[in-house]
Amino acid sequence: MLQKIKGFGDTKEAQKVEAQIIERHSGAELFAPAVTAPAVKHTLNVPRL
Amino acid sequence: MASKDLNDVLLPGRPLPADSLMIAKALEILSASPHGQQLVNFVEKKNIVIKIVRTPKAVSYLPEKKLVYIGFNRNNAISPSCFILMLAGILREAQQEAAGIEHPDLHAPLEKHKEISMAKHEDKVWYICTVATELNDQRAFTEYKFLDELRKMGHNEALDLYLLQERNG
Repeated sequence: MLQKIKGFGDTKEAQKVEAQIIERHSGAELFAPAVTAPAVKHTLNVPRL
Repeated sequence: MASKDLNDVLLPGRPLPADSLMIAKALEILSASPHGQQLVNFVEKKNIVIKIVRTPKAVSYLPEKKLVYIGFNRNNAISPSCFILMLAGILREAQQEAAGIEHPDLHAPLEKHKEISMAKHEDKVWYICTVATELNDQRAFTEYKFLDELRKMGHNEALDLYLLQERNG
């Protein structure tokens, strides 16, 4: 029943789908710790006159 | 509602109509293509329920075998052509499931996941390409620019390969 497109496996789309399958399978989405951005220290770098 | 009353909805460049009208019109347009007609028959025969939900990005999914969701952002709505092609894709996925071609369970080996899920995706893309080509060939749907829409949806390479395959028989 499943239809095929010759060469589809080499497309960027196929690679993207494969990457999503691997990610889902590894459970990375479910179990990965929340990613937090590193704290950024804001400083005013005003030159002294 | 009779289909003649739907003629002024789901047209390119016009605001999207109410959900029920969108779905009815999309199915009506799909039925103008032989492969789309198969999907419409499937919806009727298997009593598939189609629902539209609000999501940040355009997405379609199949939470149950007979329940199809299409989501998009109403404030930045998708085009009618995109909606019709998304519907075709997710209905094909429902057809696969109905035929017993299902995703492996969560704990199945990665190779099995890759083999089945990739084959299902390729088949879905083939089906969308076929419906888009069949509709694009009809003068009544010139404005919908189905092939351009398919490329915008990220199926550019796939469409080129599909058209090449069809040309070469």
